[in-house]
Amino acid sequence: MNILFALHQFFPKHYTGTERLVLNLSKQMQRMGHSVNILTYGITEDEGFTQHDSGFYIKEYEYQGVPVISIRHELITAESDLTIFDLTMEKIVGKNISHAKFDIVHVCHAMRIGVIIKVARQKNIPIVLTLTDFWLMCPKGIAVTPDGQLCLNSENGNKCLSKCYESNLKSRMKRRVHDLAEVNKSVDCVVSATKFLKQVYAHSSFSSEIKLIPFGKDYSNVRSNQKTYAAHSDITLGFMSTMVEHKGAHVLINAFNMVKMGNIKLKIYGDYFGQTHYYNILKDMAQDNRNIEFCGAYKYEDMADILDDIDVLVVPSTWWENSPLVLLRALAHKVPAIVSDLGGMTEVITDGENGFTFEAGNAESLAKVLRKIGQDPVILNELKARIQPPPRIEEEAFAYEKIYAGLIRKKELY
Amino acid sequence: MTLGTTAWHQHIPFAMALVDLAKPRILVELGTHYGDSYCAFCQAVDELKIATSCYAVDTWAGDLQSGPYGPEVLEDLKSHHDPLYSSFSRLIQSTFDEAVGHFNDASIGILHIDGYHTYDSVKHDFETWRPKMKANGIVLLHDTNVRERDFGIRRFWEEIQVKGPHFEFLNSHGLGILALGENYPRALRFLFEANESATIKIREFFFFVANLEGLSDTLQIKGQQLQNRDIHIGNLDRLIQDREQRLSNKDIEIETLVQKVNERWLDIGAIGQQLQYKESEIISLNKTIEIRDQSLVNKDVEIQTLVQKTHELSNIIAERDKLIQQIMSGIIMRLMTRYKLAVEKVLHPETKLRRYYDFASAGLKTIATEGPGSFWRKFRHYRSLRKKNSRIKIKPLKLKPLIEDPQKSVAAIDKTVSIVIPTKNAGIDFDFTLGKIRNQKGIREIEIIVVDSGSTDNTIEVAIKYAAMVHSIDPSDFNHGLTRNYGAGQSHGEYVLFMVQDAMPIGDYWLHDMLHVLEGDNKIAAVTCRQVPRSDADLFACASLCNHNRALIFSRDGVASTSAKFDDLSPIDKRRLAGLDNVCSMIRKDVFDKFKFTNIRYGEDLELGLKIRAAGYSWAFLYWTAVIHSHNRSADYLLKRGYVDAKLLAEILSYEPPDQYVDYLDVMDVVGCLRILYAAINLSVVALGTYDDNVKDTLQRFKSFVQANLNSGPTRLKNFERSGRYLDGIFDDMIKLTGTGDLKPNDSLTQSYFDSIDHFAGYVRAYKSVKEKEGQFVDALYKIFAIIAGHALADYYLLMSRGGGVNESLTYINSLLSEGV
Repeated sequence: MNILFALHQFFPKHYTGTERLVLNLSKQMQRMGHSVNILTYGITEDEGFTQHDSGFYIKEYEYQGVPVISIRHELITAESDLTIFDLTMEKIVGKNISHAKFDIVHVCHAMRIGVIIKVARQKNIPIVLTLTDFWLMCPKGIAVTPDGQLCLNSENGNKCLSKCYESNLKSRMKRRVHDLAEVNKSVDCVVSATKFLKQVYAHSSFSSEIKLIPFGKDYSNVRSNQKTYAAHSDITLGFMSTMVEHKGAHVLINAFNMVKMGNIKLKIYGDYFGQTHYYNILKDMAQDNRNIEFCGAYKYEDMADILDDIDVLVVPSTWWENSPLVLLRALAHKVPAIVSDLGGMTEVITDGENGFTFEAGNAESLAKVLRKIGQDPVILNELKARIQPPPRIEEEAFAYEKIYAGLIRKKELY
Repeated sequence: MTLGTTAWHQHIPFAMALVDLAKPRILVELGTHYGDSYCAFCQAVDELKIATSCYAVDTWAGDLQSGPYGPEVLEDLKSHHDPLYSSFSRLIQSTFDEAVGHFNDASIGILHIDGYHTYDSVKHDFETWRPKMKANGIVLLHDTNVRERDFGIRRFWEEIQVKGPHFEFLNSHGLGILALGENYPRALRFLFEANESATIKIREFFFFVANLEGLSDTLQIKGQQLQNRDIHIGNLDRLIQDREQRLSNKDIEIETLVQKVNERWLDIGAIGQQLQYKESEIISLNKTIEIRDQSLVNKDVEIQTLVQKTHELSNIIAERDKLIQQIMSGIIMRLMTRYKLAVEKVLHPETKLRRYYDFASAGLKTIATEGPGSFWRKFRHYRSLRKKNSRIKIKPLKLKPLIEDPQKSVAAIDKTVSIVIPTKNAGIDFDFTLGKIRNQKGIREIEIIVVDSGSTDNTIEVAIKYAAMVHSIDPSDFNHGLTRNYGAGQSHGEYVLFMVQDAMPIGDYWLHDMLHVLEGDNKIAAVTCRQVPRSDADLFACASLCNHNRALIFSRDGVASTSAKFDDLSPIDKRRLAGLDNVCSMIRKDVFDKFKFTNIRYGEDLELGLKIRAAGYSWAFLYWTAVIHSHNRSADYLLKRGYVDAKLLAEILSYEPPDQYVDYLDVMDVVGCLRILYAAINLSVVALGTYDDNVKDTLQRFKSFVQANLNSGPTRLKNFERSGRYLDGIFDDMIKLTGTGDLKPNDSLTQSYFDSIDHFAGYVRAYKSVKEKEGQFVDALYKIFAIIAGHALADYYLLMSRGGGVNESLTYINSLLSEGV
């Protein structure tokens, strides 16, 4: 099979969750004998482009053996992140994927590159859509209003205009609603990694049936954290994420400050990507506590070492996390986790079984959990023993391969 | 006793010598003060054990010359004197005049006058005490050499010395010795009769002796210093020894480094030679490029013309597409589509009926479009091809749809499946595997039987955690077939599934899907499933799995069967029918019990598969049910694997070795062919340079280089027999016994290698280029060679063993390549 993955941004400059899962999936597909290409939008790319065509820059490169086609407008506007079908891109996208006969188009994030759905439909190529966040129904992608309220229903775009966007974007919001309906009709198969996201979209946006395929972990660089804990063991908590508000680092620091136990320390890993104001707030909150350490940004390759070092991962997000890859990675390493009770994380962590949950945004609730662990570190041994390894990338790829084959066979029949 | 620094010190040795020589009965000192001189006299008397009585007369109050002093001087002297000398000595605290009356006349042997030093006082003292002196008595006068202040002893001495034998020491303020008569003790003659030179010698002698104490202190200090120096020298000696040792070690290091440098120079020489060859290659390649450039220019012109034509055709196609769309939406098209669907549903692909239908459709189309003549040509060609193609039919299995409806529930199967897993140090993924097995859905009961042959990691612990029955056997008792038989013997299920410890099931219905096949058709005795490569699988491992499926025509769920006689089938067709794979296969327990695995070293699963087939059963292969399983093997291992597999094919599947080696007299000739091909590969890998072009072109270039290098001859290739890794070691082992032999390429061997490269290309074209997988790509080129090489050696072995020509070298190679697989 010849598979085209499409998403809004890609390596080497962008390397967060969706990019990582597409990279892992495409590499596994190659191992299984399928040809793969990535179609992406060069949102922060400003060099290396080899073609200039009709107001677009195009370049082709390989990343870790996966061929990539990157396209971007000469002039990128802010609204490009709002539009599902940017029709100005239709021709250029069609032209740049015509060199190969693709059997499947797999859209993993429709931002900026969503027009591929129209192009694939025109070429009669079956389309698979994987939902990775809320972007199709929430232009901000995180379904949280500026005042921190969770927002799972845009009310056909009216709530977006009243809460998050200026009224001059009214036509764009309406257009989004229209385009989403067309996506619904155009794609042949919709997949979610979590029941949570499936329910959200099934409830509000998609009438088509949504399949469930959990994200798979690449175990080739996974080690198992073999530490055991005694009654007076020291505990290191880890926070491993970007330092933006909805990831909840402030909740964790607040909770940690309430817990005055000398045998627990907190290590905070992650970049703040220019969010200096928020980062400074975090530093101020932590300045009087010697047991809090800011360890800076980390690379993917560093994760194994970090997970060897920490004892518990904390994911204190205040938004609807879907299936954070760092959580899956921690579980694969046999590191228990404390997560907020929002979104898809509670499908992976069962309170008291393989980790703990706490009320999202509530520092006291989190502090209670931290105290429990600090007073009796031995409970971590039980949690670790009950951790079921997350699914593997081979399983995820196999499940998608079946879908691709089924869609191709259906197309051949019809 | 406080010993001040007095002027008398240097006379002490003489004083003691005088007592020894004169041995007086009575010795008196006038003016004792601190007591230096007096105690010297007393010490001499005490040590010489002479019967001398000693008297010291002094007021111990001081005088104008000494200055006044307190009673502490006498107390201090007493504290020293009394314990030592009081048995023969007395300290008389009195004036000289008061004391003189206490002595008899002519009783004193030695008188030392050292009181007030004016002329009058000294004269008075001498004259007062003269009568008390014995006739041969000796008088000592101190300070005879003081010529200052009111000291008058000098004047008195000069007067008195003429009155009798005398001697004077000049040092230490001077000491005059006067004998009062000529009958002085004979022992003192040397003193009183000394001439000028003797006088000097005597004075020098006693001066030297007087300073010996200081000398001795100095000597002691010097001695200590010498000792320290000796210790220091000793340390330096040790340091020197250590440095010498280190120098010696450095010398050895240097020697080793020099040797290495020499070896490097040799390598550089060899590389230089290689570079020379490369340069000449580059020249010839440049020439080729020139020619190609020219032809490219010509092609460009052609292309431009074609582009023009293409543009025109595109316009025509666009119009036709429009027309087709109109037609497609028409009623006739809708009817045709429904007809096609009906055909698909009724006539399954790869069935006989379907093949006849397809043939008839194609035939009618050909006749309509190209005419009957073309039809007959194609028909004859098809007939000729049919003889070479596989005679295996794959009947598709109608199982669940690929895109499952999650709302649809899966009916549970009321059966028990026993899973038999031989283990030894199963590793960290075993927990995942057993967890997946235990979470399987849709089956009444799952029994896990682990037969462990000596694990030292936590394999058994993990097995117990997942409620497996664990049986431990001795590692030496392990046999692929018999151990599995043993495990199956412990099982209670109606079905037994054999799998390996590192095969990880995919999905929650993996077991259910396999069981469903067996439950659905009694004639199917066994089912096996696909293997999906692990995320850490290298290019070769992935290609092997992919090509394995292609070779066995595994591309969908199906059942293999044939209408031909088994013995008439090709070995590969027999392999397709044999089917079973102990990586993961499920068998009906009653069928298994009839046959079981036999005690052979390899291929026990194939052999059982053939037996089951021979009994009239068939087996199913599930492409859409799978386990995760792959291995990254070394080239060494694959050489052995190729060897063992070829022998297995011969033994079980009646594979006949080709006759390309029949004229080779010895196995070293076969080894020679392999070595020269290996050398050509080494050189060609280096020549490849970059991997930026597409994979197909890269492999094409590689094959051209290999062929060109083989054509260049063995003399040149001999220099490139070593790659620095891969198969160097195993070839060394072979050469040790077989000798170096002739290097001669074998065209059939080379073609086999190229054919395998083409198979590899069939997989690796999934990648646009291999520039980011260069290491794995090069490894694969060698691993492919390793398999071919193993096969070639096995072919030769089979040929020789049939003709009774297995010699010692071949026996050695057979054992070398059969171990460790």
